[in-house]
Amino acid sequence: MATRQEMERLVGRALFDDDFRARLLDDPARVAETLDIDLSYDEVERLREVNRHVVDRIAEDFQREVARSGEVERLGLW
Amino acid sequence: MTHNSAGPLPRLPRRELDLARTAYLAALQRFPEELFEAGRRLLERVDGANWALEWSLPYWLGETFGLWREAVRTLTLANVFGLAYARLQDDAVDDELGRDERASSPLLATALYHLWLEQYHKLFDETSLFWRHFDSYMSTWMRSTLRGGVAATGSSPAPGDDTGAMVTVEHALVLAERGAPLKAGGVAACLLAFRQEDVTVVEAAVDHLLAAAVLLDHVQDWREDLAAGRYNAFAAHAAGQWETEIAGGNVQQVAAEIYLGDAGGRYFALVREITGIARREAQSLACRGLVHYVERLEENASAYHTRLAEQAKGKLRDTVTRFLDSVKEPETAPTVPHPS
Repeated sequence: MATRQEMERLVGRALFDDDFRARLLDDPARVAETLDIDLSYDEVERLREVNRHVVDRIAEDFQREVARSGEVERLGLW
Repeated sequence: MTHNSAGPLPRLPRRELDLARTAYLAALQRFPEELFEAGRRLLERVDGANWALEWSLPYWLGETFGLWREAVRTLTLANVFGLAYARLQDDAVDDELGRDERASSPLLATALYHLWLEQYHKLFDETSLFWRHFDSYMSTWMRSTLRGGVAATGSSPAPGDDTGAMVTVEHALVLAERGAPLKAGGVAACLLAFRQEDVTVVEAAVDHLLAAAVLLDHVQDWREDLAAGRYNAFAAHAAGQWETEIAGGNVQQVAAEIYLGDAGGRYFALVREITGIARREAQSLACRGLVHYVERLEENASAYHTRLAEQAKGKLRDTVTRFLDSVKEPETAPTVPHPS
């Protein structure tokens, strides 16, 4: 079973990399293994069951948002 | 040290700040009105709050070395002219001058350079060692400005060499060369106080502080720099390429470094290493103001990294949750006509 951090690393990569996302949804267990992450049966099933159209849109929005706006406001402190 | 709080950097006392501003404007009044106005606008862009080191260094060193007040004020004013001059030239080289500034800027630059040197001529005769230092800093600044501040030295990582992707202190020092003229005020303070043995330490402390400031600026400016096709050290760090100019197209690479790579943890570790060196140098000079400045810079950098990491983590976590919750609609069974 993956830890929360491992799941964030795995899905986080899928958010940035469209090919990786497609491969992850096709074969979650095998792709997770390439990052040394062991998924439980439930986790594999959960990834298999995500709606590809929806997650594509989530990834697209995420990529657009991180490219456009800063994470932290400018501090002007140096 | 508190790593989650950030605050303003220590700066020149209000009275000294006002005196320097007044003297700057008074000196520019001898030039045509249009140049005076352009110089006044430029002063607002290089104010003492955002350029604390440039405005305050002669005061802090003067306090430490026991320099007489007028000398300190002259060196402070020289720094302001030098800062304004360098800022204006940087804008011209970076093609960031507005249409209405293009005619006045070369003339204003000439006036500022003249006024800058005029301050030092009040303190040093033409045979002074100071002028050799000054020439050397100007040469460094010109070389750095011509190449756009890019770290052109060092080596790129070999293919597959993960450790080579890390910027080094040496790379950062090359990036900081565009601030070399700032050292003139520091060295002038040393020479006036007959502390020639401290010149090397003051130069090194300024170099390290400028290097840290450049690295921190690049973390904040990476989106704008990539959009404008300018070199950016944080983007270069994310791409693992330190020699080449990084133009647009790497936004996802940098964002991935922030969201998936500990928010630039190794990059901020380098900033800590460099500010640590600067702090030890300032301590060896027993320069209280400079030590305080470095400590505050360290706190602010650390606080910024913490907030960057927390906010990136929060945004990633929310998005991952939405991703995993986006389950397919259950397939509905085909409607079978009810047998009647």
